[in-house]
Amino acid sequence: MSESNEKKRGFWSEMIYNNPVFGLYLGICSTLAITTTLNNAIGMGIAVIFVLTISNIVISLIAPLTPDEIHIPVYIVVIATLVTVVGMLMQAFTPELYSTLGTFIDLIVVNCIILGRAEAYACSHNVAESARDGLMMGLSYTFSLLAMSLIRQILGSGVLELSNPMTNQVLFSLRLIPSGFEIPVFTTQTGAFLTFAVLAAGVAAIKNSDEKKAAAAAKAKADAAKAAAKAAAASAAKAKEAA
Amino acid sequence: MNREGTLYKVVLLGVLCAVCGLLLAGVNAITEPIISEAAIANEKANLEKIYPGATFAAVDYSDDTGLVTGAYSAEGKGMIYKIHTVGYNADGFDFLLAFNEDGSVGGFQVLEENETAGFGKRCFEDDYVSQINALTSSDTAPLLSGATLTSTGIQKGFNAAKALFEAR
Repeated sequence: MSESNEKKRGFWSEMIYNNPVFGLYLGICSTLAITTTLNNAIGMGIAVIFVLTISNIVISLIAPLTPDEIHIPVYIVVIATLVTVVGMLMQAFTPELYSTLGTFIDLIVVNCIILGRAEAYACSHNVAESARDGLMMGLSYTFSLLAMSLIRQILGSGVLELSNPMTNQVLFSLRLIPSGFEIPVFTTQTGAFLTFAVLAAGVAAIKNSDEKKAAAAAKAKADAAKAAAKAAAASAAKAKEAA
Repeated sequence: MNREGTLYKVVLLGVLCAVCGLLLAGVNAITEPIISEAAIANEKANLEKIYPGATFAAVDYSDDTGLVTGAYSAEGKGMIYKIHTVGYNADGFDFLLAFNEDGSVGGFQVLEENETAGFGKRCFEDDYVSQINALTSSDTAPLLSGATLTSTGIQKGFNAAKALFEAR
């Protein structure tokens, strides 16, 4: 997909077309592992938005100074520093969330989305564009986590619940499925794969239908152009005959 | 400086690592006190039972026995060790054992146990507790007849804690 086409798309469309999880299949490991609750999804999403945006900004700034041979270690040092900062802040201010997300916070360093965007976008674009890309990719990743966690939490536990990560105080708790009718498999990794497959299929279906529409429109345009050319040729031939 | 030269690459990576190190040191200076405060927050009420009003800090330790689950310093008073050991009940039990700065036992406080009443439970009654409180870090915890498994568990925990206390 060309960059100019991407720029034309709106916010929600970009959430789907450029969605790193369901569209590009990046960062799936952490998505499957931590999307058991809404709290985990929001916490992980904010951590990734922070790391992705700041790393894109820093990398776009230092890319012109970085020789090709050492660009990967340079990017990794930047990303690892930011992830460690996020880890320390979470451990200090949201200890419950930190212990729930566990190693997946540290594993943001090797999340394909972060290094992928650094390599594919930030190193060759200016600071503002890189920051926007990091923010949009981060939001898009968070959107995927929220979609997965909403489905898994509601189906798996029957309750939609959100708590304050700093105090662990429940902000709201809503039972949507009567007790005894939950489907606990959705809280397991099997449920994660099922939910992921359904959502990825949905995104693929939307993309395919849009592509079909675009192809049909292009074909109609080409047919019209062909018909117009035929008509012009016919009228030219008639005029020649008349002459 | 030649951008393709080795020296440039070394300097660039060195400067980057130094900047990142400084940033991490700054963030660590802000978060470290909060993290260590949180680490003892859950335990503070129990620690206060042994050294009331003391300033506590979690201490790093390396315990080969696997029985010590926490180590805390009480500023100017001594060290407290949290121990999980197994007696008769397979789930085991938890207790705190403190050593004063001079090596004498500063306190013995059971936190959670489910030992048999009349047998293992006697290890947490005044008679046995006063025997423990009279020990020092060079002694061994006594076994209690009729509560051999529970008192052996305590003895193992005592030995693990005193090894850490002596090695600090």
